[in-house]
Amino acid sequence: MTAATSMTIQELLELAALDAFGLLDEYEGALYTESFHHAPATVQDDIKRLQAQIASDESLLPIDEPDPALRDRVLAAVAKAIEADSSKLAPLATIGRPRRTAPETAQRVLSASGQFWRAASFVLAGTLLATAYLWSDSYRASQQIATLALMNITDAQLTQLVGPTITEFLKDTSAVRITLTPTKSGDPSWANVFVKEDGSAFLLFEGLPRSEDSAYKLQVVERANGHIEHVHSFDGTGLTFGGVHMDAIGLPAAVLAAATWQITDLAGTVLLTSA
Amino acid sequence: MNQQDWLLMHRAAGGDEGAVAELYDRFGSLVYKVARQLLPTRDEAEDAVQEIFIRLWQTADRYDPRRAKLVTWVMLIARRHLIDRLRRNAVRGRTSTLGADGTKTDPKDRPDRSPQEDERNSRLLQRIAELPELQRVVIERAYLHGFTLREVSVQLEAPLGTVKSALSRGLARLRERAKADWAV
Repeated sequence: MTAATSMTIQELLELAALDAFGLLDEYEGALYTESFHHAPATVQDDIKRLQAQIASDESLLPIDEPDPALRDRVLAAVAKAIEADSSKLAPLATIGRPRRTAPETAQRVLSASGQFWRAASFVLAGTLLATAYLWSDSYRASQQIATLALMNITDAQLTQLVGPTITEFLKDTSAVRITLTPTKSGDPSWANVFVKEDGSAFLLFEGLPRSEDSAYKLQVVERANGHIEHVHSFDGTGLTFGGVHMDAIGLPAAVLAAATWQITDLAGTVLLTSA
Repeated sequence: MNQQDWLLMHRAAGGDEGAVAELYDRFGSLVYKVARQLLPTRDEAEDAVQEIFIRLWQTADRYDPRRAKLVTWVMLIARRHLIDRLRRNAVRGRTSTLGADGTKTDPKDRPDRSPQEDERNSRLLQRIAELPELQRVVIERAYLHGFTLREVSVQLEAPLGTVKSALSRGLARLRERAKADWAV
């Protein structure tokens, strides 16, 4: 990002309050977010702390407390909205229709049980809230489908897809999920890494771009010093959907959860990143 | 990254009503107070709070703890919703904020603030009135009435950068003075 198109650290700090209040217009808000992501981690932490202080500051607010009965009314209203949303569920037969337009040249290779693979990736993507999907009503409907489909897909079927270990990570509520998105616009691939407190991890991926070398590298970029740690090499070619279990990565779980994760090809080109 | 807040929003996005209840218990009071500041009556504020928590559920899957702490996200969603509501009210001919002299601008709104509340609001408006003029006008229009900074810049025929600085400095000054006023 060039200096002309990014905010300085001083500007980020000066506009932190306006950003927190949503008072920047669309262009400036986007520029602020972009500049924020390029700022050093310590500056990001400072801004987040400052904005949280501003957001929770009650000195300019009325002292009026809500009626205790409001709690039940709010929860009932949300429950009703959730119920109304699930009643718009599309039938399971619609699974298999692509939710976004893939480039015409992209080859999505499905195995013999293509419908099942597609449904399963739908299920897991819905569970994992993959950021590659569009935030639209169709996404929310698909998430509901995913929830229902999960009830019908057994552990055996899940195990068949990516091995038995994935269920341990999905069920572990303390596991951190990191989403990796493509660096190239229009690339439909995605990946998620689950990291448990014991330092083990599970990588799920779908639709990695084809490469001649047919191998990929999963890496961790430590936030504190920029050091790149190689985590795992794997072959994802020909797989619509795949999973890799890593026993112990050798870095503290807290470092792993805060680091930038990336998948590169053998030449080192970053294909997907969590940054 | 705050794992617990991310997990909470992840659960809320999945329709977990317990997660929504937890969100309300943590932020309901704060959201209500902002609604009371911007909307004229308790009934409207309560309706708005319900709508805001529905909105929080709808957008829970967009929360990114790398970008902001959860309280910042919640209050951003709340303010945006309240500003939209203010604009809808304005279109329908209902003015919905306090007037400069502290009285309701819509005579049909029944007064439902306590005497302490009235005193606090009067003090706030007095503090706003004491600001340099540009800061005062910008805060009234952007912070209280929900105009974007660009709209305020056009209304005042002032450069956008000037408007931004005025708002930022004015809010900082108000917060300092308000804290001094209400310090125990």
